Amino acid sequence: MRKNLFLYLALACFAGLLAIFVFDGYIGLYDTLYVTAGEREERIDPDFWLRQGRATPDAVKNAYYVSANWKEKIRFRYEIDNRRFSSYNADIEVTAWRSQQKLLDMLSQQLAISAFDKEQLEWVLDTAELLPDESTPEQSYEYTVTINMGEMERNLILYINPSTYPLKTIPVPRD
Amino acid sequence: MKLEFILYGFGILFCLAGIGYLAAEYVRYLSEVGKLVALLLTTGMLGFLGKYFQELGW
Repeated sequence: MRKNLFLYLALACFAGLLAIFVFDGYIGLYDTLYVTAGEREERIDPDFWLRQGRATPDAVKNAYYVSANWKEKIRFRYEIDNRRFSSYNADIEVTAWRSQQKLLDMLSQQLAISAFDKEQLEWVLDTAELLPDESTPEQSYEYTVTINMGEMERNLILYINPSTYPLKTIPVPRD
Repeated sequence: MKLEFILYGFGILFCLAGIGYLAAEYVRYLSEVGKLVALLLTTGMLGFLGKYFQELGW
């Protein structure tokens, strides 16, 4: 009986180990970003940021590429899932950058998410607001959309596609 | 007979390597508290397993 007790205790420890992996994987703060450009919705899972942060060098980490068409509006939906025993309070700021210069503030607000609750934020980015006045449809542009939330930073590289067929002005026929 | 033992040895080695690899992959994503608890549980598991084999007379 006594020798079996040690075996059961060892098995209990093993079960505890498995439980720790499952529990620890579930508990935490998880953010999912949905980006709709054109008719496509892209979902950026929390795993993406986690893998990027570990696998790539600092210079390019945490970047996700999104492409959009010339003067298109892009819809963002950001879901924050607080799977922790305490509430989460932080400031969230969404900005657009190009060459280390801030071009646009898209969102700035305070977040307060209670324990095991979710929050969803939505905003729209009009790429026309980002493009310079002298820009032409044949040119492509790249911008960085940065989401700062507490200590977290998420970066998206926004690529604005050039028009395949340049717009032509048709002269008005004169009588 | 000897060949069988060599094959058992290889099997055990591959099992341990597989478990080690999976554990290393999972542990990377554990929180600090999770790592500590996992370490304590692993120590307990190996300790109790050792005690069990000792009781068996190994």
